Amino acid sequence: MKIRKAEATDLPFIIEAIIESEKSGGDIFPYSAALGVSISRFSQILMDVFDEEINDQPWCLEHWYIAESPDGSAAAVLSSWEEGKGGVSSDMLKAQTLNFFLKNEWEESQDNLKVLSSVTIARKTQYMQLEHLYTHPSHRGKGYMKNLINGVINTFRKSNFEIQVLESNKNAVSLYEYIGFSVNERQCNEDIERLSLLSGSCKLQLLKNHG
Amino acid sequence: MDRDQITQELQPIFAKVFRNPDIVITDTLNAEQVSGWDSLTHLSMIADVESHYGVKFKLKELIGMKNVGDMIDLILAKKGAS
Repeated sequence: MKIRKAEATDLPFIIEAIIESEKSGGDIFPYSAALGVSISRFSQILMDVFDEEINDQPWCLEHWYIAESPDGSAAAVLSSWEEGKGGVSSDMLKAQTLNFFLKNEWEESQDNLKVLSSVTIARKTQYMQLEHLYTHPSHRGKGYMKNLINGVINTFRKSNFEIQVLESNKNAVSLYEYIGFSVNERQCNEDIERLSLLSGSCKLQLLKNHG
Repeated sequence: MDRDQITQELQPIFAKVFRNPDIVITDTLNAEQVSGWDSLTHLSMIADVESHYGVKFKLKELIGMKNVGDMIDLILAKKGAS
């Protein structure tokens, strides 16, 4: 299995990864649920965001890694960046970007956004973040994601690592714990499930510290 | 319009958005130092500042703001420093 940095030709697979990983194993796409935008429109906005080349947040091509299958196709993908490297949190950068491209929807969705923010866990500054971990359905069960995560960890072997995931995505949580991550913080709000904003009401922060 | 004037004008905006009447505005003030300064309140504050000064920040300008001083620099550049 080959691990490589993503290229512009990988963007369709990356957009698919963002959409599917945001669903976190469920049916709800949070940005459609909270902001009322269709998946197709959100996909176009993601392309526009990638065009802006905004570092230190997940939607930047520079931060993406691909695990290739033997036939050279992209099997698994993730985004990894150092949190807060430029002095601003990735959550702030993402919010500013979304607000810029979806200003009306953002302003009309304040109630939903406040509910979602209730389970926001501040990412740890200087930790390498792993986000939007996604394996193509035809390549699941073959160890691509485990090898991709370990490959990225080896690339930044002196760093600490963080993953945030919905607790309801039990397969993902099990994999991360198997690799050596452990739960550091848990935030829940039952209104999130009641309002169908996410596929689960609890968010986990998992950490894997160097050494 | 100068830096001190903008600093004074930002105080009531920040006090309202971050619900802290005693907040002290300095160039180095940033989100890590203010309780309640998260992505939602940040965007409310930006909207209020844009409205107050009649300016519009570009995306590159927004993501480049590391602290209040950066924002004051941008306001001065857009309004013209005296």
